[in-house]
Amino acid sequence: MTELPHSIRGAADLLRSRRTSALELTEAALERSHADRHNAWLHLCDERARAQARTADARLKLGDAPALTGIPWACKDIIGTKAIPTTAGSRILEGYVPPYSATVVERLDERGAVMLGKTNLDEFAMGSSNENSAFGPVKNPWRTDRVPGGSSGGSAVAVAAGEALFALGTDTGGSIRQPAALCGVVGMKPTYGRVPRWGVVAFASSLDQVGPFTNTVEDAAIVCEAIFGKDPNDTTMVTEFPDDDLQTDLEKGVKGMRLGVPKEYFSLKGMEPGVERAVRAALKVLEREGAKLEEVSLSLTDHGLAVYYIIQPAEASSNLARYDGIRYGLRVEGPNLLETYRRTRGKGFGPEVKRRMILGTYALSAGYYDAYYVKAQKVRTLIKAEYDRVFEKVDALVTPTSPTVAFAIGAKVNDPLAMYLNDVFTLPVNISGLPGISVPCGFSDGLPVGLQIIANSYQERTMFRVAAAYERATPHHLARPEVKAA
Amino acid sequence: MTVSAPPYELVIGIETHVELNTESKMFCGCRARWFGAPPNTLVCPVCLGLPGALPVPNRRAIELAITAGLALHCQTPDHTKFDRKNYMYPDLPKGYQISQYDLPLTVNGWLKLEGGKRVGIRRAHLEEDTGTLKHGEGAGQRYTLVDFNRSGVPLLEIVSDPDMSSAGEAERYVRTLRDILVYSGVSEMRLEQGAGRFDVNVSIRFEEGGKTIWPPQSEIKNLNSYEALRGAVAYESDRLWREWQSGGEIRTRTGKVTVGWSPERGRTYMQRSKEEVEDYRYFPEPDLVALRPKATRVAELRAALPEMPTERRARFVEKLGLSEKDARNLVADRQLADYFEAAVGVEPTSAKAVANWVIGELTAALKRDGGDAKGARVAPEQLGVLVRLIAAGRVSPTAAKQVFGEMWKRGGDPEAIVNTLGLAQTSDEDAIAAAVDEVLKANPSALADYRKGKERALDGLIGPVMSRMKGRADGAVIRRIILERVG
Repeated sequence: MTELPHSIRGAADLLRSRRTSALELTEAALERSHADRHNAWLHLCDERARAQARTADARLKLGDAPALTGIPWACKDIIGTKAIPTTAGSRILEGYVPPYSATVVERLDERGAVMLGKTNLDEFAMGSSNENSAFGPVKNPWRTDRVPGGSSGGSAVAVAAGEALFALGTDTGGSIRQPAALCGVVGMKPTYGRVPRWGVVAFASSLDQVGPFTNTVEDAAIVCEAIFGKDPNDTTMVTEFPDDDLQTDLEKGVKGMRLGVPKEYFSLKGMEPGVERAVRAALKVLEREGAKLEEVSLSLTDHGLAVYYIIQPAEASSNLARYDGIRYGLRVEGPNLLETYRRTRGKGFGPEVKRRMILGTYALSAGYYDAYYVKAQKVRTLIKAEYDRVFEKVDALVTPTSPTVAFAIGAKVNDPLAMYLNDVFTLPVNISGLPGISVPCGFSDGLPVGLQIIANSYQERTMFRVAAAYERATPHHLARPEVKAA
Repeated sequence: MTVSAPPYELVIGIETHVELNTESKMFCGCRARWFGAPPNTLVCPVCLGLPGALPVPNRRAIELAITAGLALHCQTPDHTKFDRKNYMYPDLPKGYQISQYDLPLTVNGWLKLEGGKRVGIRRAHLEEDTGTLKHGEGAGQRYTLVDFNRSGVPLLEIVSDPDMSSAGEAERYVRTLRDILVYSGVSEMRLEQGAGRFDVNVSIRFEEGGKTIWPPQSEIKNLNSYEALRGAVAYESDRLWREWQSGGEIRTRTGKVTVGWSPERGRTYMQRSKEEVEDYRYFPEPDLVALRPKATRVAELRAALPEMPTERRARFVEKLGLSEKDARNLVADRQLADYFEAAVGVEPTSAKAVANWVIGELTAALKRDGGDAKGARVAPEQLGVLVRLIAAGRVSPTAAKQVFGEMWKRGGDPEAIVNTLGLAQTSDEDAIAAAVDEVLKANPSALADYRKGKERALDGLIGPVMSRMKGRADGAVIRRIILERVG
C-alpha cells in the first residue's frame, strides 16, 4: 500500500510541485482507510472524497490554494456532517442524517480539504478508551490488544496508522490529548471559545472544544488557523480576541522561556514509572534548549476530577434529553409516551452514558443542586484562578498528558473510577478553558508517551512555540507503528 | 335578586405569558409569526433541537422585555442570565426550555387598575415557547402530531403579586396589562391567535372558629381568553370553598394543585397534585453568556416609551373634553387613538366631533372592509379637514358621510369631493322652503299634531326635507323654515 506523506506541510509541497495530485493522495488514503484493522472508521465516504479531491486539484492548478487544499482528513463522528450519517457513537442516533454541517467542517470544505469519513469514538465522547462506542472498541496500532485512548480514539488512530493526514476530535476532559498521547501523535485542545461548536453534538457545553490530531506541531497550527475564529452561531465564543498567525513563533525556540512544572502532576499515585521517566527526560531536553524550568504548585489539581464529574454529567444530562425518539434517531414504540421514552432511551444509550446522565440528574436535583453543582462551579473558579496566578510567573506548563501508556482492552471497563483517573492531567485544562497540546515524547514498554504543554488562555502561539522546539530537538514524532494490511 | 358576597376572601395572582412582537424567534432566525402557517414550515436546526444546534439570543426580544418592564415601573438589573428548565415532552424539542430562573430581566414593578388600585409586578422573564400538539384518530388508531412552528417563539412571562381579590379584578388586571403591552409595542397579544396565556393562582381565605383559614391554592393553567379567566376563577374559588365545607382532602393537603379549565364543561379538572410536582433542575444555560444590559440603552428604551393608556385616557377627557366612554373606546386601540390625535391635529377645536367620526364612521368602515386604523384608506388628516368643513358650515353632517364614503372608496381631497359631487351646503332658502312645502303637504297629520300642542311632531319632517335637498341643507335652517311656515 502507498504510504501517505508524513505531514500536511510535506503533502502540500508535493501537491504544489505536481509530484502528486489530491486525487492520488485521496485514493491512497481511502485504500489505507478501507484496509484499517483497528475499527477506526464508522463511515467512509469515498465518492464525496473523490469529488472534493478533483475540485482541489482544479484549485491547485489555479495556484493560490490554501495549505489544506487536497489534504485528506478524518472527522470524529460527533461532528455533524450534512447528508452524512452522524452517530456520536450511539445507537440512539441510528438513521440520523444531519441537514447541516458543523462550522468547522464547512471551514475545511471551503479550504478544499478532503474529508475521508467519520471516525469511531466513545459514545457521546464519554470515555477514555474508546470501549464505550456502540460500534465496538478501537484498537491501538502500536499494539492491537491495547486501547487507543478516548474519546476520540478513531481520529487518533486514523492519523497514527497513516490513514489520514489529520483528524478532528473533540476534547471535553482530555479526549484529544489523551488518545494522541496513547497513539503517539500530536493532539491539541484550543482555548475555550476559539473554535465554533455549532454543529458539534453537545456533550458538556462549557467544556467541549474541537481540535486537531496531526503528525507535527506545525500541522496542528495549520489546522487551527483554518478552524479558529468567530462564528455568529456560537455566542460563547470570544469576540475581542483577534485571529492571529499561529505559525509565527514556531521557529523561535524556548531559550529564556519560563516553563512551570506543577509538582502535583508528578506525585499522583498510579503514575507509571515509565511515563514519568519519559516526561522527565523531555523536561531535560527543554532545559537543554534553553528554557528555565521552575517547579510550581497547582494545589487544587486533586479537586479537578470531582469538579469535572459534577459539571460535565450535569450538562450532559440536559444536553442528551433531546434524544427522545420523537423527531429523529432510534424510536422503540411503547404503549404510551413515558414507555416510549423509557424503551427508546433504554435501548439507545449505553451504560456509561446512562451512568453520567444519572450522576448529572442527581447533581442538579432540588436539594442537591447547591451542594454539588453550585459548589463545583465555585471550585471551578478557584482552579481557574490558580492557573491565572501561575501564569503570572511562567510562560507555559509542561506535564505528562496521561499517567499511563495505552492499557489493555477490557482492563478498566468495570472500574469507572480507574478509567476517570486517566484524565486527571488533562481535565483541569478544560475546567479552566486553557489551550493544551500533547506531543510524543518517547516510549514506555514499547508504547507511546505524551508530553502536555499548557498555555494561558489565547496563548496558543506560546504553546506551539514550546511544542515545536521540543519536536525539533527529538525524533519521537517520526516513530510510526508498523501497520499490517488487512 | 341580590348577589351576596361569597363567604370567603379571594386571593389571586396571575402569570401572564405573552408572545413578543418580533419578526424572528427567540434563538434563531425563523419567522416568529407562526399563526396559520402550514405545520413545520417555520423551523430550523435550532428550534427543532437538532444535535449540535446552538441558540443565538434575539436582541429585539430582550429589548422588548426590558421595555415591558419599564412600562410596568420595573427595575432592570444590571446582570441577568438564561437558565435551562429541564423536562421532557414531545412539544419541547431539546428536552429543556431556555428560560430565566433566579435573575430575570426585569423585577419589582406595578400597574394601576382603573379606580386606582395598584397590582404589584414581581418579575418578568424571557423564555421560548414550545411547539403545539394535535391529537387525532385515523384508521382506528389514535395519534398525536407535533408542529414546531411555535417552538422558540419569544415569550415574556409576567408574574403579578397576589393582589387581586375577585374574578372581575383579575380580568381588569389582564386587560390593563394588555393595554400597556400593546401600547409599548411589546406584544400584539392577540388572544384569539394564542399570543397570550394566563396561569392563575387562586386561593381563598376565611374565618372559621375564630381562626383565619387559608387552604392550599389551586393553579389554573393555560387560560387563553378573558371569559375563560373569569369563569375559571369563579368556578375554582367556589370549588375550593365547597371542598372545604364538605370536608374534602383540601383539609389535609399541604401543597397546591394544578388544574386545567374546560370551557365546554364550564369546570376545572385536576392535572397534578404536589406529590407529583416536577423538579425542573434549573441551571445556567451554558450555551449562552450572561447579559449585562447597558444603562445607556435602558435609558434610551425608557425615553422611547409612549404615553400609557391610563394617562392618555385622562388627557383625552381633561384636555380634549371627550367623555370617559369615548376616551376608553379610542385608547383601547392604540392605532385608533393615534389616528384620532393626528386628525385632531388638523382640526384642534373639534376634538369631540373628530372622536365621533373615528368611533363611528371610521371604525365601521374598518370593521366592514378589514384592516387597521394605521394605513386606513382615509388618512387622519383628510378626516380632520372634513370635520373642519362641517364646523365651518361648508358641508352638512349628512353630506359629509357621503364625502367620507367617497374618500374611502376612491380616495381624494375632501374639499374637491364636496365640489365634484355638488354637496356644498346650500344657502338657497327658496329651494329649502320649496322642499319644506312639499313635505308639509305630504304629512298633514304631523302638522295637525303640532297644532294640538305636540311640539316635537315636526322633528320627523327634517329628515325628509334633508333628503329632498340631497343632504346639502343645514338642519338648523330647515327647522327654522318649517317653524316659519307653520307658525
